[in-house]
Amino acid sequence: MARAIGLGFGLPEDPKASGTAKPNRDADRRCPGCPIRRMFRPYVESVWLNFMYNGINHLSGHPTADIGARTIWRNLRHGFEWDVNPWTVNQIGHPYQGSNYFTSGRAHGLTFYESTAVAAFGSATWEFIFENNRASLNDLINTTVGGIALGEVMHRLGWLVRNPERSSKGRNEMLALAIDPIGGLARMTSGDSKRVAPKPADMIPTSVKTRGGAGMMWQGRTIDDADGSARPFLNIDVDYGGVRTGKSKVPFGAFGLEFIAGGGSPVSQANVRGRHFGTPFGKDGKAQFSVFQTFDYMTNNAFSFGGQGVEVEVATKHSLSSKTSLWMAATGGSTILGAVDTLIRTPDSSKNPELEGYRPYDYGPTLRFGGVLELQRSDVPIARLTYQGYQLNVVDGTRAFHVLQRAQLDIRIPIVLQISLGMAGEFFFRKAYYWPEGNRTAETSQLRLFAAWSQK
Amino acid sequence: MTGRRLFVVVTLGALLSLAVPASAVAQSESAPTDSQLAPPSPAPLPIKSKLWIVGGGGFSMARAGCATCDRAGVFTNSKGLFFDIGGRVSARVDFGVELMFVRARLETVDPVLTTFILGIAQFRPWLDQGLYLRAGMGVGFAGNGIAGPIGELAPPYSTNALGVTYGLGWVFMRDRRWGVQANFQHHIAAIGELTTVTGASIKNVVGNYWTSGMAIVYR
Repeated sequence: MARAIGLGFGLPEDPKASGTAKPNRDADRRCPGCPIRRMFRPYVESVWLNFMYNGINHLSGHPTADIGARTIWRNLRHGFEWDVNPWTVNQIGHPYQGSNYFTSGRAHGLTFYESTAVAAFGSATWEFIFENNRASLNDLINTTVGGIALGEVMHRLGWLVRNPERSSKGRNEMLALAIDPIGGLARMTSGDSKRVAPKPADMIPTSVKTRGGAGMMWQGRTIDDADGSARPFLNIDVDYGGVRTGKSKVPFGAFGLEFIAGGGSPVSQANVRGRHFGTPFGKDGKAQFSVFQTFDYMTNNAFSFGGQGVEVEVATKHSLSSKTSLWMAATGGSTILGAVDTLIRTPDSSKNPELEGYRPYDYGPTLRFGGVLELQRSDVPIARLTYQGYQLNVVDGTRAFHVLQRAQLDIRIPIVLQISLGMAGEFFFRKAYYWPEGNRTAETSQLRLFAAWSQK
Repeated sequence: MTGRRLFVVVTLGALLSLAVPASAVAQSESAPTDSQLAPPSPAPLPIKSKLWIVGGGGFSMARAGCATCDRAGVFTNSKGLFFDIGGRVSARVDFGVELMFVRARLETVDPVLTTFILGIAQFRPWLDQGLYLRAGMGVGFAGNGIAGPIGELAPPYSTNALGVTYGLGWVFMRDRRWGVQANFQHHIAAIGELTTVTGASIKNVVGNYWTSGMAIVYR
């Protein structure tokens, strides 16, 4: 049976035909530094990962951890519903769990698209088999789609720090293990971590630019509000592969990562934009058309939003002088399933015991739109004006449209070498159109002062 | 035969039909045929058309539920109709649009029609076999449509629409263009607030529709 299935997937008819106890599988590598291609192992590992997460739930006394044939059959029979997990579990925890399945596929030589099936399989088996509550539609989407975005970023960042051509590379492998745990474990258990081979060509980006900053953040609707609200924060931006230029069809061959920790919550922003398609167009190829897969997570005093989607970007660059240029971009797309905190508490939740675990945020498909104006001096950004909007149509929660908007002005003054002083002013505004409850609004401003560094 | 039994029988039939080609392949491998002994034939001509059209139907089992409804939900046995149109983007992958109609009941006497309009991707793991896997996403709304600021709808209608589908099947090509497929699909519709024929509204409704059926394929 296993042999027949293996043949179907194009595996050798008899792996021990060479007569050696341990067959040489190097022929199953796409390149000398690539992992051995194993079609089934990621699926088996996904099941083991589910056992592990279920065990963690057991140890933490989670009520959904007790499973059996009856819960599995009931879940399969009843299909999908929505769950009431906390915000961070659904918007960060589940995408991270999905990234484990996805990176398992990538770690065993599967392509990006083949690994998406592993993420979907891991997510579906978790929902139907490894939890005793009904399978959750929002979890399926968050885990699968979010897991793909986070997983590919982790996979590529892991390969960025690995140096497989060196014979002593323990520190790099450990750092890569921290970034991409499943990929790192696969390399250690297969012996690839000790193997000297060139890095896979598709894991070498054309460029990597990082920008970081650390400073203080003030939040509030007015200056009085903001007085005394100072909190430290740390931010990191990564441009892997150059998302603004070039012709590419490689999924996540270029991606952007924005991460802000602190400022009132452990993670106040985490955005990923992975390019699936990019091509120059127009006169002299000055304009650029790109298609991105997106992952959004942001919390502030006006709104919390998370979701996974797709967006199109049209961008162009104009020279203002010999050293100064203006980069402009317009974006538009859709978030497959967005989550936004609600401004209204469902009245039934206090009366109906079934709604005890009331979820203070709603779900729905979302339109996204935005634009960027960036002033550059010698190709280094010195000022950037960003606008991003979302329009979420609630399909689970209090019936409403939510319009969320964020405007940001970021100015950097170069001081010495790659160090600069930065200031960022942000304005967050939301309007929720509830019916029949009426419209509600919320807004907040944010000022950040920081020391920044950048590296090409 | 009750509707649910009929659904189970059709599902088993569809699954068995998926197994037939595998056993046929196994049998054909046991003894060499004339074609295997003959010199290798030239590679098949590339398919010029990129068009892909599917139309068919099947037996559906639907379950609608909501946060405040009975936890068991309401099961309905129904029939589903679906049409796909799209194109081949690679030897293994098709992209297209699916239109699906199926009925479900939620605390109302009459089943309510649910319509899906979905973008779908279909993947064939093996070029020489008929197995395909598919997934898609789009809108799925109940009754007479989606309530909005323009115009008024007669109930039943829903307020929102999120549709998701996944499934698998096997295509039996009869010639270069035409074939039939056996399929099993699960459609999920998040239809928001459902206003029933009585005017009452039920919040946060999710419909699950499992369909086993057959379809005609043109590619």
